[in-house]
Amino acid sequence: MSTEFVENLNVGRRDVLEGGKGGTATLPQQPTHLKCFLGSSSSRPSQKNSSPSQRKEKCTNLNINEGYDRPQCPEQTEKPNNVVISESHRRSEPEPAILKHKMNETHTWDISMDIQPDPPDHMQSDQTTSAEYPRDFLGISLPEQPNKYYFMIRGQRIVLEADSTIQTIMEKLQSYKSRVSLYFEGFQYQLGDFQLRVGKVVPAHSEHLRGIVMEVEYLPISSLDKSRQIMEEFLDIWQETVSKRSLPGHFVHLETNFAEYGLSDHYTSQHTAVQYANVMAQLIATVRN
Amino acid sequence: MGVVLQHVEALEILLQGLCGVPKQRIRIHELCLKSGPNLGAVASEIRLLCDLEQPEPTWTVRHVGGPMRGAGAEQLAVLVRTMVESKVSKNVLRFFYALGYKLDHELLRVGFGFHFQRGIRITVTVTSVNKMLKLHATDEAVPVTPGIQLVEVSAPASSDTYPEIVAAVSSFCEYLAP
Repeated sequence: MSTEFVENLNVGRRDVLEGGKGGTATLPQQPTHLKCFLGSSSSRPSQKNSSPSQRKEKCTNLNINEGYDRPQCPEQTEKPNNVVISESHRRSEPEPAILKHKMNETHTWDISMDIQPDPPDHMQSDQTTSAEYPRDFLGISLPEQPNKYYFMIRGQRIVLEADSTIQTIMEKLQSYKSRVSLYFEGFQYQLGDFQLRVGKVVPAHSEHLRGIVMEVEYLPISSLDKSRQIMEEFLDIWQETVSKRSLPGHFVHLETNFAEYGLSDHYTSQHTAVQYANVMAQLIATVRN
Repeated sequence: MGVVLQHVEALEILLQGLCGVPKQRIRIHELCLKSGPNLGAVASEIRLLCDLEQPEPTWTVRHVGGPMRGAGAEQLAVLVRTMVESKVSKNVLRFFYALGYKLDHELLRVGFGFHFQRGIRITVTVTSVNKMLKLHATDEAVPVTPGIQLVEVSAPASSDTYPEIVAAVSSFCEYLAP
């Protein structure tokens, strides 16, 4: 994956979504905590027909290189928890125009995910042993944790957090190999206490659009339970706004049972990794159907 | 190398004098996992290390490669192995079981260690290697070699620093010669 670094897209103040206070195009200040994901998949290749002026702010394969830590912020009010949404959504332009005109772009972002389905190649035909190995083995690196890597085995509800050197170890073991690599890449926006990331999902070495993902993060609170309501309210506003634009498709809610993975109410990067794994599963299922 | 149990205290005093800083206690539960049948083109082995000396046990995954071979290796007075480590979350054992790895054996290493900075970083550990009679029963471990403890001297190196590292380690080992 390219690691070209691009300057921040600091475009100044803009009007924000109805009812919110004005946001600023500043660097995130110790953000963290709750996130919800909206993912959409597309079975059509992306149509790159936008004009150069519209595409000037679009970037691909970029690292934020922020690497900011996420300390626990003091809880201020009772707030709802995070929500995951995934949906089939056919678009020719992965960046929602609604965000382009309503929010402040701050950064680009990307995430790489490796899908390592098993069993190994030479055991494909062996039905007796294929059941012994996980078929939903994913690895993901997150921009907010540049020195970490996360493995998920969805079928057994396992999420493992490790130093990034774990990838070298897995390569040396030669028991599993990455078969498919996907990148989530796009733009990051700041909207009051919310941070949004919208991006496309593309395979490595390809521009074939697999889907669109939107990540919504509520910054002040780490508790899933306490922020559930506000997250739901935000998404209700989002759904209503999107519906007024007559955009094709719609976003739906995809809940994640974090307790099954042994994760607590306090939100961490492991929660993020699990949500991206679920989004991927939804995208794959949608493409297959 | 090994040291007879009755000389461990003297060795500790010697190392303390050479190092100048207090020793670090070692109590590590080491689990050696091997790939299950038909997993991967070649058999593989991984080690999970649980540091029981910490207030909250921490886990590390370690992969140790085979010894360096060839004409270059024969000219070195030390054994060179590639080693990669990664700190991991505590569910790492369950993770590797899910991937198809099996527990081959487990050990409990108890002892102490010193870190020396003499141009390069040299680590010396003196540990008793214990086996568990019951699965994961670290409180009931018994020595594999009663009366003898294992002394390990190691230093990180890269391919372009082998000569320097070898010389430093060999020179340091002279201090430990009986």
